[in-house]
Amino acid sequence: MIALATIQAASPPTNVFEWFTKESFRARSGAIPHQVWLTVWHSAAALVLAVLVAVPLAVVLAHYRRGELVAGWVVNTGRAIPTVAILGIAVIVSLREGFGFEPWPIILSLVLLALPPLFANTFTAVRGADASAVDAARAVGLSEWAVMVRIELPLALPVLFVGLRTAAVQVVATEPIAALFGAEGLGAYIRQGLGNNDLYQIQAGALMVTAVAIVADLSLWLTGRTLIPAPIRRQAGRSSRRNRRSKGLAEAIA
Amino acid sequence: MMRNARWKVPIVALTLVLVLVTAACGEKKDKSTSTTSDKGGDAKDAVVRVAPQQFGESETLSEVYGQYLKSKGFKASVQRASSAFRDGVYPALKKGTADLVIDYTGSAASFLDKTGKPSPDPKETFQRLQAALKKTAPDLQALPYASNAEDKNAFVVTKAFADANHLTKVSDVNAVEKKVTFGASPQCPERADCLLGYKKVYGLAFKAVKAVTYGPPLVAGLKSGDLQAIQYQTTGPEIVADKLTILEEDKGIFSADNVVPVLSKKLAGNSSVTKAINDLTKKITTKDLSDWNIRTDLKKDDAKDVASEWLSEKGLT
Repeated sequence: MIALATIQAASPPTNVFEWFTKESFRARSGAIPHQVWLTVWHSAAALVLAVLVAVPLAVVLAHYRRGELVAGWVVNTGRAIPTVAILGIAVIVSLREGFGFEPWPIILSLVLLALPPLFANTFTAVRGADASAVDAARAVGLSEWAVMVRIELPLALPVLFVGLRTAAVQVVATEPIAALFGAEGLGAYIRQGLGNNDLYQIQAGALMVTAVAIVADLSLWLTGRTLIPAPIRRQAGRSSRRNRRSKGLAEAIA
Repeated sequence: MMRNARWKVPIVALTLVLVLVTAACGEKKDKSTSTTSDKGGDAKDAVVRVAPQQFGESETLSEVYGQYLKSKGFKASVQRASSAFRDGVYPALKKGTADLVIDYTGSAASFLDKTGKPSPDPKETFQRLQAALKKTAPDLQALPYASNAEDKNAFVVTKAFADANHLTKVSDVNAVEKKVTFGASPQCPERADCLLGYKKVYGLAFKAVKAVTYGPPLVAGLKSGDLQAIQYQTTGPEIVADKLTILEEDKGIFSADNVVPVLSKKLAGNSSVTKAINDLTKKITTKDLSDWNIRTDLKKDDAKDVASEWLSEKGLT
């Protein structure tokens, strides 16, 4: 919700710095922390849901070497549909079904945006997991399930995290379109700037979106570094260089 | 490699089908709207090329004028809309590659001369259009506007909400303003004939304002109850189809927007043409416009058929 009570500002800002420092300009599109929070939680929710869908599916399909071309094709087609079109349809359906303008339509659209990089990276990484490690695991009597969860998935983590970071940056950068379909978030500044012919407000909105995207990328990189044991990180670097086939597939999907 | 080849067949087939379908669609459109025109002289030989703008109502209006003039014996034709709006059709009129444009008084005046002051009065708005034409396009002339046919901004609520709160005009909304979440296009907050006007002139303080892309999402929000009021257009096809109510804008922030024929001075000199056009303009009503929009926008009927059916219904052809 925007508080439009202060719609008439005295005079427009003369540079983007002034926009940030003078409260009266910002008041028109809502407080910054609130809009940042909306963008962050929409993006985070979409990423979590996308991980829950894409990672298990990719691990199982890659483990059993099934349907890689179908999956690749579906993922690529999904990537080709503009998010703004998905959102436009999602908003109308959501309204009709009584779920309102926000947050479901934007979260659904962002999930669809995040699926392709997550799926492709996880699939490639599991396909490329060191074959000798997988063979050794089977030899000591691990079940197929245990091979997937305890051998292939950990080995896939470094590449999976690359996919997660790609997805996160795309999701944060796309979330602002929600502001054109009855929702709020950092896109409100861009929308308001466009409607008001206020270039500095658009700039400010874009800068904040960029900042959130960078922070998201860095924090995921840090999480990856803390979470993934160093030997696997190093192993991943070596095996992806060695394993030409998995590299070829990564290119095919990407 | 084998798996690869198996998948190629359906994909290639699907692509081919898509290409063929889109090609066929494009071709059909070309045939139905492309026209030929030849140079003519006076009276019945007059050539009238009508240039529509690219939206349903303008295309139907252009077809109505084109077919009517043709039935009166003039060499009339309707050009392709080809993604033209005012910035496309006025240059065509000035250059002489089109002869007639059916426009709306207030919007046309504001397009031609941005300095003019909007007025809700049709007569004043028409005078503003004439002044704007004199100033920016001296070779063009506006014929008398349709006093019964208008398509302008509208403050729209559902019939249920209007009945429950006894709303008939926009100033009635003040009593229930805290119940109203108002939806409008992202440009609305800064426009004098939209949110700025509602706040300044009506003193309306809505519960909330939502920016929603103009078109289906806006109407969907109103129907679902997420929005109680929206800024839309008077002849929007959903207004009749979905039982929506337009509140009377009683403090004059909207400009009048009557249907008005604009043509070259040369063609306007042909009195039999102008008489035919003026006869037709008088017959068109706002209700006709919304009926046409329901058919072209909701039922996806061809503007050509809608126009010819209306003309024969009214006994004009």
